[in-house]
Amino acid sequence: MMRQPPPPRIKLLKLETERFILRSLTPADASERWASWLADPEVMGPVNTAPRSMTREDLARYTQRFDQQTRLLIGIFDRETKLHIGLYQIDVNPHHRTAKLNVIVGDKDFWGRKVVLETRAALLDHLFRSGVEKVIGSPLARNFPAVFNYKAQGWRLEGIMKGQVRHMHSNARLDQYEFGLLKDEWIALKKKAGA
Amino acid sequence: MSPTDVKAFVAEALQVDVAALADDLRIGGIDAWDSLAHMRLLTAIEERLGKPLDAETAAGIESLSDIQRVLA
Repeated sequence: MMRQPPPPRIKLLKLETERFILRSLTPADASERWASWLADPEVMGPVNTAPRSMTREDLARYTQRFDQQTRLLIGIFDRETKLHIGLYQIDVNPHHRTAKLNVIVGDKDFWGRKVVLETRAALLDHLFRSGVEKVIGSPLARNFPAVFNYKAQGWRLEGIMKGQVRHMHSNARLDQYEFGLLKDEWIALKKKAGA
Repeated sequence: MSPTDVKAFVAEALQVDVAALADDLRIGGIDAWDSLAHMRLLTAIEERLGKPLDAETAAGIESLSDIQRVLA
């Protein structure tokens, strides 16, 4: 019988990219700034989540729901100002060696500045190094900026789920895409980009 | 819509000069085609068509030729 590689073991300490820092969020990161994104329809609408009011205490408790091994909550910080500008939520399935990624850039000053392309590249390197073999993303079909980021990064559109979720405020059903990327594909994409 | 018209249409949505658009330009192929520009572009296509793009069509928009096909 072929020996299996060990299951993914995510140990996120801190990742740095040219412009950003990625690190696990802790209760100390709970802030009015972060809470303001969750109350902003422009930020939450594209991910079909009703804006809601949360206190710093709520957010601090929220961070504790993440074991940072199979459920990761990772903040995106601007390197220059150290401001918290967004976050990733990542669910790792150790058995299937997959990771499902969700991202929100809450600080609208950073929209259209390729934050996701830059930071997710570093995360993919980290996840694949840690034993993950496939990553998955499921943006709503109407979330055009998110769809752009998957396509521009080279993820493969694996399917269109018709009427997959209910609209947050109505009975309308929304289409969702399923994007995927295998470790070998990511390595090939990086090689091609560097060629 | 002619290829020249498509280029002018895309240039306006991406807020760049037409000369910046190569014939074989693909999604994200120039700095100006970022996530917000992509949203402007698809919204402009919907306005031109007078209806929302369905998920299949929107998913297929990755190049100037795709846009020309959708707007044909």
